Amino acid sequence: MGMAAFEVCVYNLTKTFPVTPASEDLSFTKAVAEAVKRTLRPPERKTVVDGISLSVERGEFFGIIGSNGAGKTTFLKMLACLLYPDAGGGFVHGYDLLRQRTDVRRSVVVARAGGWLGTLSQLTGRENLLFRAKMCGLSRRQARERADYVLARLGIEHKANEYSWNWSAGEQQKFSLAMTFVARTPIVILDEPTSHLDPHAARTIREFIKEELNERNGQTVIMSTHYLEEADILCDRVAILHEGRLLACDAPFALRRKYASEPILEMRVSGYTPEIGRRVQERCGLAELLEQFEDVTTGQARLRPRWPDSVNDPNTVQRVLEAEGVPVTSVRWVEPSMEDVYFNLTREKLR
Amino acid sequence: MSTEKPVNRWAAAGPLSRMRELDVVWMFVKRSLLMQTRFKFAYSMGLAQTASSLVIYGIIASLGRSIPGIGHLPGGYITWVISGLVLNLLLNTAIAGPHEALIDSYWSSRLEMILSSPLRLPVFVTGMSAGRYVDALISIAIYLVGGTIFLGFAWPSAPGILAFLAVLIPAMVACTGLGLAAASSMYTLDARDGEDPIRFAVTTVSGLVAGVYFPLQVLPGWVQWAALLIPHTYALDGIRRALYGERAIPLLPVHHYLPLAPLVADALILLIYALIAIPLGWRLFRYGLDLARTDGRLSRWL
Repeated sequence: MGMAAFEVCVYNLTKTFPVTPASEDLSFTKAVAEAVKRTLRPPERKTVVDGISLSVERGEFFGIIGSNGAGKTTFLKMLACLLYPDAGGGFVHGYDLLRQRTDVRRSVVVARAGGWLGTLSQLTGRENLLFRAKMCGLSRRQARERADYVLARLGIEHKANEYSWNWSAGEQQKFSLAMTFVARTPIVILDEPTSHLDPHAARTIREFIKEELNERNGQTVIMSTHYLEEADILCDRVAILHEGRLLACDAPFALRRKYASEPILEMRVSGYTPEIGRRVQERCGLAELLEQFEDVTTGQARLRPRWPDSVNDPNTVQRVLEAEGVPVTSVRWVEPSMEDVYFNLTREKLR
Repeated sequence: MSTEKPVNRWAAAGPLSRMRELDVVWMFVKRSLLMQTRFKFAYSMGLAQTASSLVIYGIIASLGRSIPGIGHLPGGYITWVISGLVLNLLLNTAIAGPHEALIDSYWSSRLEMILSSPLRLPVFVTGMSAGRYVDALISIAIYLVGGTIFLGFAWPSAPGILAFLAVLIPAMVACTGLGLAAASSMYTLDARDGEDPIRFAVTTVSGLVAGVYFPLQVLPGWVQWAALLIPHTYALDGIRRALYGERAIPLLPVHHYLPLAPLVADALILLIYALIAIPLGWRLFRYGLDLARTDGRLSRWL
């Protein structure tokens, strides 16, 4: 056992995957030649996780954010030894990621994104949970108690004796998560646990993870999410991944202070469309015009214009918007959020 | 970190005790039964299909009385074919078990979940295979009960049954080894969709040439030699010798070259087969999973 202060400590973790090139419209002969070539020649490889080094403290709630394809899932799988790294290594719960894989697997429980994953449709919700709990080493009594407790806390006990084809997508996801929550491990790895959930269900899940798993049980939670506000509220620290690289890793307030310290101009408008947005961006010479719709049918939206230099000119933007028939209902300076941190960081990389 | 956190109450799960592992295997069996019987009509049709195959064997038995090689089999054709079917079911279950355990979990997106649990790999494979054995045992019960009541299946003596087990056990172990190798092909040969090549080859060859439906000796010489590559041939020969007497069963080509009683030779060959197949199959099975964990094919989605 080593690295006792950290629950997870990885260095230079790297993973590449073979890339299968898309087939063009080939004649039969060319298709055969292409198939032979693919078979004989080693495929090109794409780096999905590129030299990530980070550590997670015991009992910490650690978030991972990044766009689709940023390498979040691949990174999490490597922590659970479901995927072996091409380079690098580390320790999970004191066990060597490369040499003590069985012990690592016994230290973590993983929940994947996607509501229906993991449950068997021919079994009821309770049967699924009991089966999972026993697989994780709980006795019959412990399994029953734990399953009942998790079902009640997630608000799905009324669906426990039904088959999965009677569940809504959100309920399926809750059952899928419940399968993870019945396990008793020091580390919980959650891959986008609240995706596909309605706001109420998402809040239930968040509360359970934070209050029950992290604060009450003291389990270390490592969670990837697309919801930046969720990461901001829940996580002690957040890592931002982009194209397989770790761009930043710190507490949310520290990230905001470091990467988005200036207040941001926000305009509320109505009658807005993305097409109008493109024209406004062009006419005002904006580097970016971030839009967040509140009501697509009426075109109510919040806009955040960004200029290429530090010279802000909100009046011109307001004038052009109004000339496009988009009344501006309010203009205000807002404190930057994790979203701003994320966009600032990834924009720099895109440049 | 901003807040005080409690000490983690849950240590990493250690290996499950042997009792817990048995309990998990039992859970797999119950789960398999629950899953199969959930769709009652389809399940009943499957049982009816098994029962109806007895009728076909009954017809062959009555038509084949005058055919040389079939009409004068020890115990009669029905006894011959039912003992062959029982054995073939058990051996094919041993071969299919590991592959079906893997491929079912893969396509139901549960493989990652199972492989990240404290469950040992042999327990997972045994548990998943145990469910299939229950299914096979139900079919065997139909064959034996139906065969005894309606078609005059001749039950062997108690020593015959003991000799039967002495051949059956190494044969099943050998086939499990082949099954593990077959399961690894899911990743080593990327046979994730459809039949795996090893299992297909063995089960097809065993059905045709091992002597399930007709004696091996009625086949051309080269086919008889090809049949010697699979454990089914020795198992079927040994079991029929065990059940119905040495003298009544024709010799396999290999028996002419071994200075042993044919039944002992069969059991010995199966034992050697098992001793080679199990470690080799297990290594291949582990290698297949490691390969999948290296190139990201363990689950359907990265």
